[in-house]
Amino acid sequence: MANTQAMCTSFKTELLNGIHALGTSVIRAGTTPDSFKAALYLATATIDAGATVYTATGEVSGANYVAGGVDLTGSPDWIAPAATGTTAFTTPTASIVFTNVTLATAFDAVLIYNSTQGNKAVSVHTFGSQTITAGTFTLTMPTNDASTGLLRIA
Amino acid sequence: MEIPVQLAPGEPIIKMDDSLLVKKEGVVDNENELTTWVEYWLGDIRVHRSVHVNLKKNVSMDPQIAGF
Repeated sequence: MANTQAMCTSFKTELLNGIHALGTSVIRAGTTPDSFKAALYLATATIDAGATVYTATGEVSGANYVAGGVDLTGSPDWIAPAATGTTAFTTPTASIVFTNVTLATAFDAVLIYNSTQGNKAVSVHTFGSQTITAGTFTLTMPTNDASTGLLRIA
Repeated sequence: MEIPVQLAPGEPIIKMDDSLLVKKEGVVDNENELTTWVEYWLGDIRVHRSVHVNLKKNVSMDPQIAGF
């Protein structure tokens, strides 16, 4: 029986749950999950892995779109982080929906960010460039598993 | 069925019966997404467009640990 160097899978899941603080952390008011939001960005914007917090720069604007985007509406916002094999993963509980909006300038990205923790950025997801006219823009999440979960630590 | 429409940029969003409009639909299916869209046209003016994007591609972190 040989020993195997590895990052423990439980640690990966616990990172997603905010259990470990290897550096300076925050004082949390309780054990409840944070709240998250989603904002849309123009195709001409440059939002990427370098994002640290939500920014209005490059964000879409238009009828019935509120700067900052929409709340993730699941309860909680994310499916409880889990692991399969050595991959930890989680996915928003519900689709992200922008209802009855007009977004006339092409957009192609969504930033998911933590509105509880100072709007800190979580992830950027891109898709084909879109416009919306008096309509609804819906982002449906992939299956929450080790292969397709929206956030994965492999 | 009433459809929300905007007749021109900056105009209020109102409702219009779909019998007055021409409906167009489309699908984009690639490795990143499965997207469906529906548009309603009044003459040569697009007055409604809704889009449904099913994300396929996730973001992942591939952690590395160092040996001694």
